[in-house]
Amino acid sequence: MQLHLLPDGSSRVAVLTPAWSRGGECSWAVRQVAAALAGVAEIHVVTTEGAAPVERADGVFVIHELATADRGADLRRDAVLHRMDELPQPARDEVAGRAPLAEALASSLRDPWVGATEVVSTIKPDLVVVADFRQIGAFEAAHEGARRAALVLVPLATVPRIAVLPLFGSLLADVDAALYFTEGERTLFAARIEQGRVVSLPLSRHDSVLREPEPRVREWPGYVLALTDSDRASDDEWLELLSMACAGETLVIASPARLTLRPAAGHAPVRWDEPTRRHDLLRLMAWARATVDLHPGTLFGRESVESLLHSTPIVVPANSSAREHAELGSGGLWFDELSGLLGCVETMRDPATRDALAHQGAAYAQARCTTGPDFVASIARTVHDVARTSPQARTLAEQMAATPSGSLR
Amino acid sequence: MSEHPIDSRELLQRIAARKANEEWTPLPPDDLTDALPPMHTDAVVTALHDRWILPDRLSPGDAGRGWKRAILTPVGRLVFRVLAPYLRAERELLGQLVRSNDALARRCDELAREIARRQALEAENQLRLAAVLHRRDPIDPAR
Repeated sequence: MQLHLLPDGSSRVAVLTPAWSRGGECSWAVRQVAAALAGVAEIHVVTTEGAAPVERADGVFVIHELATADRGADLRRDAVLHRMDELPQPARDEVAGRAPLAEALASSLRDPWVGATEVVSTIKPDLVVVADFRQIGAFEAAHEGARRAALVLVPLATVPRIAVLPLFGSLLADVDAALYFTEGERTLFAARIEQGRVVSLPLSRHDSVLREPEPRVREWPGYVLALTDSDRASDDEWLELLSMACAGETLVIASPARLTLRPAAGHAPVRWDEPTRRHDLLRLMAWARATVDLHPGTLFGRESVESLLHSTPIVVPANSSAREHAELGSGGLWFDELSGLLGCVETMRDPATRDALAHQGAAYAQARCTTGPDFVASIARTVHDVARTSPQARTLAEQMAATPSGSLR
Repeated sequence: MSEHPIDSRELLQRIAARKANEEWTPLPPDDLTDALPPMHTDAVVTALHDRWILPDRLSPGDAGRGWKRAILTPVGRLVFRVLAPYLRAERELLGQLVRSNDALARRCDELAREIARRQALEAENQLRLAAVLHRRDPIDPAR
C-alpha cells in the first residue's frame, strides 16, 4: 500500500526513527518535526517498531513498520553505553576501540534497520530525517537508499547524555544539518556538525489555568508541587525529606497514578487514586509556589518548561535535562543530593527570591517556546540552510518558504 | 555579571556557603540523663502514705481530766459510735485515693522513662540519617 496524500510532484521526506509511537519526549519531538514538514511534503516514517512488517497510515503520515525492535536488547545496550560514557577519556576511547565490544554495540544499532534501505529507496525522499544520533543502521539506510537526499539529524541526546564519539563520530560526517531541542545537545555536537539550530519548543502558556486553582488544592494556597513517578521506591526517601523541608506548609505530590495532598502540620493527608489530567497538572503548576520535578523528561523536561511558562520557579536534579532551563534562564535551582534539595526548597520560601526567579523563568520560557507557526518557521529555516548545499532539498525549501507559517521570518 | 537580578548559579553558591557554615550535631543517645526524680518516692506522696489513716475513736489524752474527762469520754464514745459507718467509708475512700495517687505517680515515672527511651532512639535515628545524607548518591534522572 502506498499512500499519496499530496499532489504528485510534492517533496518526500523519510523520517527514520526507533521511537515513533513509544510515547515520551523523544517520540513527541520527532512528531513535531514531522508535522512541521507535513504541510508541504509527503512524510514517510520508517520505524523499527511494530508487531509485524506493515505499511499503514497514521493521520497525515505514512508509517513503515519494520517490526525489528527489541526493547530489552536496547535497554541492555544503553546500559553498556552509559557505563562506557562514564569512563575517563583515554579509557573510554580504549574500551570503545575494542573490536568485539564495538562490533556488538554497532550490530545492536544496525541490525534492526535491516530492510530499511529498500524501504527508503522505494520512497525516493528528497530529505531524510534521522532521529537518534546512535542509529547506525538508520544512517546506512539513508546513505544507501537515498544517496542524493539531504540528511537532517534530530540527535535526541537524552540525559544522561552519552557521547562515546569513537562509535558514532563517523556517522555525523554526512549530516547536512541538525535540529537540537536543547543547548546541551548543541554543545555536544557543535564541533562535528557544521549547521545546527536549537529549535524553539512548540509549547505555550494556557491562560485558562491561571483563572482559578485546581479544586482539590484550593484551600491550600502557596503549596509546593512535587512531580514524581509513583513506581519508584527510591522516591519515597526524597518525598519524606521534602515533607520535612516543607514542614508548616502544604506539599502536593503528583504522580502518574495519584495526587497526594500533605497539608501543613495538624491536618491529615488526602489522596486521590486517579491519574492527574494534563490540564489539571498545568493548573497545579500554575498555582504552586515552586515545582520540584524529581524526574524531568530525559530530552528537555517538558513539565519544567511548562511550570516556568506559568510563572512557577522549578527545583530540578542537577544531572537532568531541565537544569538547562533553571540555569540559563535563572528560573529555578538545582540539586544533586538531599541537603541540596532542602536548601533549594528553603530558599524558595523567601517571597522576593521566589518572585524574582518566577519572573525570570517566565521570561526565559516565553523566549524559548513558540507557537506552532513559529516552530514550522524554525524548521523551514533549517531546510533552507540545507538546500544551499543539497540541491535535492531546494524544492522542499521553496515549498516551505511559500507557506504562511514557513516563510523565512 | 549576570543579566538577571537574581542569578541561579550565584544563589546556589550562596546557599552552599551558608550550608557549609551551618553546624549540626545529632544528640548523643547516651547523653540523656534521668533529669526528673521519681514521682512515686516524692516527699508529698510519701506523706500521704503516712497520714491517710485518721482517728476513729476518742484518744484518752484528748478528753482532759476531772469532770471534763467524766463528761467527754462517754459523749465521745457515743459520737464515734454513731459516726463509725461514715468514718469507715471515709477511710476506705482515702485509702483508694492514696492508692490511685500512687498509681498515677508510678505511671508518671514510666512515661518519663519511655520518653527518655524514645529520645535515645530518635537520637540514634538522627545519627543514621546524618550518615545516609553524607553518602547519598545523586538522584537518578533516567525514567
